[in-house]
Amino acid sequence: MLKPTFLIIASDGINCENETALALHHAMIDSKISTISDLIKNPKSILNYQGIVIPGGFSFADHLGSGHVMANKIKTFLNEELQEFRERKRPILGICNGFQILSKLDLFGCSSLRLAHNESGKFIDQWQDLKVNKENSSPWLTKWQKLNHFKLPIRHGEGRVVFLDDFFSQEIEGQIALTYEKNPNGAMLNIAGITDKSGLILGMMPHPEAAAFKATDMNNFNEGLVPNVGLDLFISINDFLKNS
Amino acid sequence: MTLGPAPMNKTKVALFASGNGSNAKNLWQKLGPSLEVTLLVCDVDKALVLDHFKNTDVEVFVCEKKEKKVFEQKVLEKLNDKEIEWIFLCGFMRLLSPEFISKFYDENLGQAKILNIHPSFLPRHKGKQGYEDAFNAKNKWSGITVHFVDSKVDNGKIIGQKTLPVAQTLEEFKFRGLRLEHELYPESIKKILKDFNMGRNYRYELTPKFEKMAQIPGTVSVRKVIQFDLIAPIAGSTLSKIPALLVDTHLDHWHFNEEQDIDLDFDFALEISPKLGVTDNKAMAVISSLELIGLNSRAKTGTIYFIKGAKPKVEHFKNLFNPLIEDCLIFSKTELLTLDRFVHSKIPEFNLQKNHEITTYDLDLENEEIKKVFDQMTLALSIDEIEHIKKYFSDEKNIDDRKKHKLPANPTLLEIEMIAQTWSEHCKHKIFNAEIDYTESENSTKSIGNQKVKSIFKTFVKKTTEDIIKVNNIPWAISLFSDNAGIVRFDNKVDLCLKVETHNSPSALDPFGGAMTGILGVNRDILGTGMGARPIANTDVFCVGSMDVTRDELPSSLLMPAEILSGIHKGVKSGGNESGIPTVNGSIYFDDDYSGKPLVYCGTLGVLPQKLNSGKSSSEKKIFNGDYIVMVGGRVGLDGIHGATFSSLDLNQNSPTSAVQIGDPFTQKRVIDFILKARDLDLFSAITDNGAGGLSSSVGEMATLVEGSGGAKLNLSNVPLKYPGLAPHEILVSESQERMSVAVPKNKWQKFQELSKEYNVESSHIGEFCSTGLVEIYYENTLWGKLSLHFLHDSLPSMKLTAHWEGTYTRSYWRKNNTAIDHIPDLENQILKVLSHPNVASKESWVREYDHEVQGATMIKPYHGITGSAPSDAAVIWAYPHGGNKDNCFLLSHGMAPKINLTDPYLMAQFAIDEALRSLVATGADLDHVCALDNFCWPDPLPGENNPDFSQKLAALVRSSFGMSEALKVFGIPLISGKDSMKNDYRHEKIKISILPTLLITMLSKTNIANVVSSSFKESGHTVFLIGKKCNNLKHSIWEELFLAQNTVPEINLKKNFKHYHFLSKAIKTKLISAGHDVSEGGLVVTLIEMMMGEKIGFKFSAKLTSAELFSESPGRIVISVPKAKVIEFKNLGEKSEAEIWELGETTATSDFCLPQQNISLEKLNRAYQKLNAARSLC
Repeated sequence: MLKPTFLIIASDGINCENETALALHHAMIDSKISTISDLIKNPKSILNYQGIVIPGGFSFADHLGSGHVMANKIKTFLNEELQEFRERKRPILGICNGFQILSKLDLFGCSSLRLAHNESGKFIDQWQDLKVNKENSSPWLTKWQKLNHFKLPIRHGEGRVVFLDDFFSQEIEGQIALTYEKNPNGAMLNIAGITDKSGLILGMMPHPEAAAFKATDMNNFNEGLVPNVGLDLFISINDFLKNS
Repeated sequence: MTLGPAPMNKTKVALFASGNGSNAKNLWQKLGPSLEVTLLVCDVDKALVLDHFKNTDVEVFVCEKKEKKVFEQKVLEKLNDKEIEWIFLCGFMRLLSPEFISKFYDENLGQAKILNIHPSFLPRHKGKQGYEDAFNAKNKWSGITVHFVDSKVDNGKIIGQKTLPVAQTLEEFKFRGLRLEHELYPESIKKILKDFNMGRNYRYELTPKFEKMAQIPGTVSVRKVIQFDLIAPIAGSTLSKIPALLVDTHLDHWHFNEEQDIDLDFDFALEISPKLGVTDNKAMAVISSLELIGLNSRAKTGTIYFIKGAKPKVEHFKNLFNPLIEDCLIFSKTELLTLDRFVHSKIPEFNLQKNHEITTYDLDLENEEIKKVFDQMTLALSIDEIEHIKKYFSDEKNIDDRKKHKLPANPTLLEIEMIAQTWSEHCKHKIFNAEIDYTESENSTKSIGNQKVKSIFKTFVKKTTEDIIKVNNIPWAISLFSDNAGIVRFDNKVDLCLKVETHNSPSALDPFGGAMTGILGVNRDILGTGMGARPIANTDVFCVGSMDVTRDELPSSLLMPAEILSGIHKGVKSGGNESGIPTVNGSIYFDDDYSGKPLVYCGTLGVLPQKLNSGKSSSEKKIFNGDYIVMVGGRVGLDGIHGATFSSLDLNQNSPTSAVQIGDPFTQKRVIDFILKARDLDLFSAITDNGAGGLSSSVGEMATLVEGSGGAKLNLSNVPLKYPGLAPHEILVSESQERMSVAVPKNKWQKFQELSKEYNVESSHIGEFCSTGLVEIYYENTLWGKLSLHFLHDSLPSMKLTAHWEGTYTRSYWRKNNTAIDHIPDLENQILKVLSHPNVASKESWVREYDHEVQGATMIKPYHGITGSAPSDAAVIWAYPHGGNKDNCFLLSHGMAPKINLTDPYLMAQFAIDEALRSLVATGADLDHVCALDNFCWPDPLPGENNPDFSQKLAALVRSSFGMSEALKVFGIPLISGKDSMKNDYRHEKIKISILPTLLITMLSKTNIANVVSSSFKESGHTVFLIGKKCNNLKHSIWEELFLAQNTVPEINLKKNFKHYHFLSKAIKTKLISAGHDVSEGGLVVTLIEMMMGEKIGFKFSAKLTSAELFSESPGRIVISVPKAKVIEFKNLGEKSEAEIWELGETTATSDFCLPQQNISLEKLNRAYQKLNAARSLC
């Protein structure tokens, strides 16, 4: 069977595209790193891909708010194609700044979901214990569902999940993907990641691509290229694509 | 529960309730032990709450007065009478008046000491029926809130909130809610009291900046507004589209014209905006956002603070803006409203004088007179150099040639600028290349012999390295001393380059901006190495004044060490985090004398593919006659002109020429992405960075690389400018940031340009390289300058200096010595004192703000272990994500020992080298693949009126270089790159502060990932050994500094140390070692305790050590742990290797540090170790 190919949106301050591509590669997914300018020139091209990842970084320096300018560009130039991409039931992942961008694009069905400044007011780089929500059947989470809890690094200054309004009138439990065991940023309900209702769109603050191999794991770094828990995310979505 | 009379030190609390008072009862049961509920105030006779307190010691005060004033009066009297400090409302149904609340206002807290609990997720559902309102609104979620009380209903600042699902029935919802209330209220109170005791202020919102404002006397409230000034042809329908483009309409309140909707509840407004001529990056984002709806605009951004209270002074807002790049205007309310500030946007255009003429310098004058003129222009040219210039311009061939090309006989301003930049100490390193006549007195601790040093660089750096490479047969040194940074081959697929720079003077003046341009500058150095290397890791070492230096000890023109540290940390953090480069290794070092000048070392590791896609080697630059000179990245402005000397300029607030540019990591990240892509597509033939000296230096250097005799023709009219009107010489030497100079073959220019556009990077064709042997500079089709490359780069004779070593190095004490200690405490307290010393204590809170694992390759992070709080020795980067071998990794470490200068700078260098090396060895480095970088930061070693002790400083330079060279030869480690900074002094009238001579050694190595060892104990039951001698020399140690006992200087035996390092390296490869950590600041005790921290494993001594042995910092020693089963094999290997090993004890399951006489818990040790972090969280 042909390997799926994912689009990685990068450039203009995004900075985790290479390790994301490497993780995809080891999950047997091909990828193409594309600049936003190139996509704007050829919006239809996004439909050539079986999945989209927006990695972390500081897109457009987070001027005017984190992810704001990138989200506006996508809204203005790629909106129709993105809608079509969703209708074709293809997966989308936003990590860190990517999550901030997806939230501004209102892709989770709760328009008031935002990533606010951490309660401490400070950027933090730290590995966190995470738990996956058993009630969320998102195809991204299949392998993680088998674990009780696991560690991924967070690296952000604006990662506190808050809901401004409609949270109070919606069933959100099923959409929570990941929660922190010990809340590092003041996120409501300890949320670290969330999906849309379909489960195909996932936004998360922790960085799975930085924990894709044992080499970067705190305790087992001597094992090098042996897959680590971060890679499970990408393997899960590949398994899903194979079966559908 | 019985309650006795309240002890004196307990804080007295009153509870206010109107209803059944379950929260009151709950608090009464749960508060303590520092709080004492002494009063219950109830405004309803027969309220249920009264029953709860019937048989308690809490006094119940019932007051049913309907009239608010009377009621509050009565209650206040009672509260005063009972000396109540805090009030907690528990279902109290009256609204308290502002007067009443103000009685409990606490200046330090910034709030009244009155709290309330409300059964909803505020700000939703304020009022009496929190539960009912959420339930009836059919919300799925609600919550509980604890908040400060202000004069509006359920309105004050929120302290704690918890979410709560809305249940099927109202009863169940309330039941669950109440349970949550009973958890949240006591929890929040504890949090507030903790903050209160630590001095946290709650007056303002989230950001630390606001917290700083809280301290401004007379201020009542502050409101922050982000201001966009726009000039654009906005028609009615587009207007409505704008807000969504510029703000988050869900999050932010916005209005178009502040004046119409302005909340008039303020007295003064403070507007902060970028100075004229300073790049307004946010405005550029605004402009490009408006382009999305087809709108062309001009924009300016700023921040306005609306302040209620007394008129503020600009000094009060020092923390809110940077006077070097931002303006701060204060308006009164009337001024603001009459100025129609918000109706007509004013965006001044910055335009300099348009016409420029060629001016010349008369060389017929006396040298002294010429020097005076040059000094005024802050061109640091010496009499010898002026003489050398005279010679060049009086050469007959040259005179004829200049006539022919219609150039004046005398040098033009532009030429003089170019000469001065090229010959500046910063670019030419004249002291490092000077001939030095060195003598020493007979009482030197170690004689290195009187000698004539031809050049420190050539003798102790270049020659030393060449010898080492030859003797050790080193095949991996690919490129040395010819490029921005040396290149080494530590992998079978990729090559590495490493560079460390300092940015001390700019950081002294503007810590944030200086450090940021420092780190971004060294990133560009790497990007400009070979055919463009990718920066993969940053390092930083900060040397700053002691934290206990007080304001009255320092001249007012110097910033306080704490301010400097905070600024440089932020600068390096933003620089790295925002351009996606992990900060992996570094340290913060405190010493009084760095108060005069902080040292900011910024380093970057880069990776290059060995072969480019084109098949060419990536480490060679080749420029051909006719290649285009292309400038890539930011535009050129007046910022940083005469960068090296700008600190001596009088900075005038109104003059745009004083603008110092803050680096822009975002623009630079785009440049990096673009350059690496262009490299892979083979679109250019050479590259270098624009740093000190701007285009003058970068193009000047590249011109020498052109085949044949080299040369360049530069057309300054084509250089894109930030604003029109710059003079040609300003364009030439401007140090505007984020620029690279690239040589692009003519036929690739179009493609290069297209790619550049895709990456939103500006590239401009500004000239051609040629082989005339000349640099020719044109402006508007006229030749403005023409100089021979040979004259510029190779003709200047070296300086001649003399140095004499008296036998010791004396530092000038400028602080009042107040560190007298009258007794030495017991061992436990000695340990705790040493652990909490600033040069030992954990710096984790700073480090966690750095992104240290972006790029997904950081194996050993700065702090590691399950707890994440164990400090690592060397940083380890995995090669595979960077295109290298999957089993290979790179190690980075550093070492320095400034205090050892006080004995001998010769030893200082050797201690620094040993420290960097043993950090590598302890982590598992391969000893056959180690290279080093030297960064000398020195107090001024040149003769001068105010510098009577220059000779000892220069002698110190010779001795430390000599010592460095010797140590490197023993260890077989070549230097691949280095840098020096020579003016690290502060002079002002009576006070003179010179830094201790500081040599930072950075080392790079490689190893197989299977050999990497972290410093944490892994399991209990492992045997712990010291490799190296038990030593009791305490001089220059932390212990000596704290307890001031006389002692002997530690010795260093390089050969023996090296033997030990080889032994350890072998033991690691044979998998005998479970943890390794080097002995450094604080001595053996600190090493062992740090090894316990990662996994909370204890340690028990079996050896008996004297306290001197516990605290000695003698070099050459490493502590390791060995699994029981391997101890015999380890000992045998030790014997075979003739290594000195001492069994210290073993690891234990209980996490205590067990000395023969006593145990200290890890918790206690950790508290001492976290002292700096804890203190930082308070500021």
